[in-house]
Amino acid sequence: MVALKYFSAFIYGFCFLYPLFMSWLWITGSLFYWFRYEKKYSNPEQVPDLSIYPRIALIAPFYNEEDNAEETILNLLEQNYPNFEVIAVNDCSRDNTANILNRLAHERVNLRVIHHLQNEGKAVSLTTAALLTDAEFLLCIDGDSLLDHNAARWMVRQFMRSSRVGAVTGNPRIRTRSSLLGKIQVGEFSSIIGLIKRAQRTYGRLFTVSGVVAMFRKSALEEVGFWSNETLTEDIDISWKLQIRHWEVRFEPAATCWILMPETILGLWSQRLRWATGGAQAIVKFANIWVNWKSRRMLPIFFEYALSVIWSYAMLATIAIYFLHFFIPALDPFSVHGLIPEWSGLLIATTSMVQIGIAMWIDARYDKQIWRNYAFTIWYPIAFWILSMLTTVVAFPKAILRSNKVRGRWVSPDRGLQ
Amino acid sequence: MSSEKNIQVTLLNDRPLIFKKVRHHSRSELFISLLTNALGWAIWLYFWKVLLTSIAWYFGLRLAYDEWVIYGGWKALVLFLEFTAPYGLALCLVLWVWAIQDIWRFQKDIRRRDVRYPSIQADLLWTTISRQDLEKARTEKILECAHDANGELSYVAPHN
Repeated sequence: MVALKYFSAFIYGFCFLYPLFMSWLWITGSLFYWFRYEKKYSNPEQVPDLSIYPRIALIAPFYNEEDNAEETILNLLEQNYPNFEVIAVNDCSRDNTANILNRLAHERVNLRVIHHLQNEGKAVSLTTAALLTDAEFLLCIDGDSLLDHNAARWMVRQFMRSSRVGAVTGNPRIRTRSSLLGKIQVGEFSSIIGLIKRAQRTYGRLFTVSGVVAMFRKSALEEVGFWSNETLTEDIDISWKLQIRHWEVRFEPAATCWILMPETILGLWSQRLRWATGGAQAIVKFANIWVNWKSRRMLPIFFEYALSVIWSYAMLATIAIYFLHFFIPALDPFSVHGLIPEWSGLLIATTSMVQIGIAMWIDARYDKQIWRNYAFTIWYPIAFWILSMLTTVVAFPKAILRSNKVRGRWVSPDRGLQ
Repeated sequence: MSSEKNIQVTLLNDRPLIFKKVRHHSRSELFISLLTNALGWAIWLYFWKVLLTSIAWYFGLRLAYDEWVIYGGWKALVLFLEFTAPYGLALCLVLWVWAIQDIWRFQKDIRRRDVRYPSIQADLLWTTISRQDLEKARTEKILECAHDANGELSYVAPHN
């Protein structure tokens, strides 16, 4: 009974301390990144001039994107880079996307279009485009996003600085801010996704590039066999494959990409469930790094993700025990007397506000209106941990049970209330 | 084109870059959205109850006294700061020390100096089409492709 009491006290402490310590780690890691790299080298007012401009391909896969295809392509064609081609991959869309892309291809010189005869999924679309170009670097975006005109210069500069760099991920910024869900995701992309990327780069490895805006060295992709078809999140998978083969994956915050995100609960849930399943798939797929000494640098990233999975289950169990102990006296030995203790609630709340504040202060350079969303992101820390907990709990068994032979295909959720 | 210097994207038909105005929200949806946000703030203020009641205590209320003294809140906080918080801070310090040694290490240690250019031979490993077909396809403007069951590119031809 005593052991049980200590065990439950340990779990209860873990539920509280894990998000708190991770938050401290993200804040301090991001501040290091900001002062050491970003402040000086990623100033969006000083667009870099490169000594050479290697050929790049801007790749955008499309599946039923008739509402956004033209805007995405015309925006890509305005890229401020002297040596590029745009490749649009139509993944067997059932709407008017094919006709829009064909018309644009006839009108524009450096646009090429690839039509798939069957729907093959994003990973296959990217691999096909990569094989059908002779460009040295591939900048991949989603079919509904707007890449900043200077993004390619910022990203190529990272490759020019080190021959070890295999991929560079950009900075996704949210366009859909008309509802509470949209606004809190603005806070999320800065305070969670942005800070994690900075903190992980401070360490030297990334859990994932942002699939919506990432540039790859083609020779690195050739070495790792391009994108994997079976994964639900091709971005996580390719990031791990590259880093396990000792390619560096960097973050370039000045390479912004303006994206549409779901603004309905159902859309958000389905998107996050896919992300969580993809993360779990990667953890299962790359678990053998623990027996490979050469992959030791990925271990902390793996460990961090594994802890988040354990936390999700521990938190769910804690919540369940808390509510059940009102009805089942036998559960009293578990030391769950309240979900948010008074002084630790204060600590968590203050830490969250500081974290969001620092994230917005850093990102305000790329997204000047970001502060307008500060008051609305109040929900985010609570919503994030609950959403993260529920999606992880559902996704992990799904990832384990999912066959590796099943192709990773999905339909995009809603694109906000435009 | 955005008027802000740091944001440069091309937009169609005067579409805004940031969608701030709600087009098909009803008044009730807007009301629910604002109410939900207000509820979020209420929860947050609850988290800050200890702090707020401390201010109130200054003005003569006893709630903070109960939280901090009667229920032993200050002891728990001191215990946390004394015995637990140092682990978190140590974790942050480890990250900084690691990052500094990493910078120092890779100033001297330059890896992958022999990085090669992409090669068509390497690409051919990942497709079943011939070298001639692949080279030709790279010059075409509009293509159609098919893939085998494993997702490997197996057919490519100009699109009519």
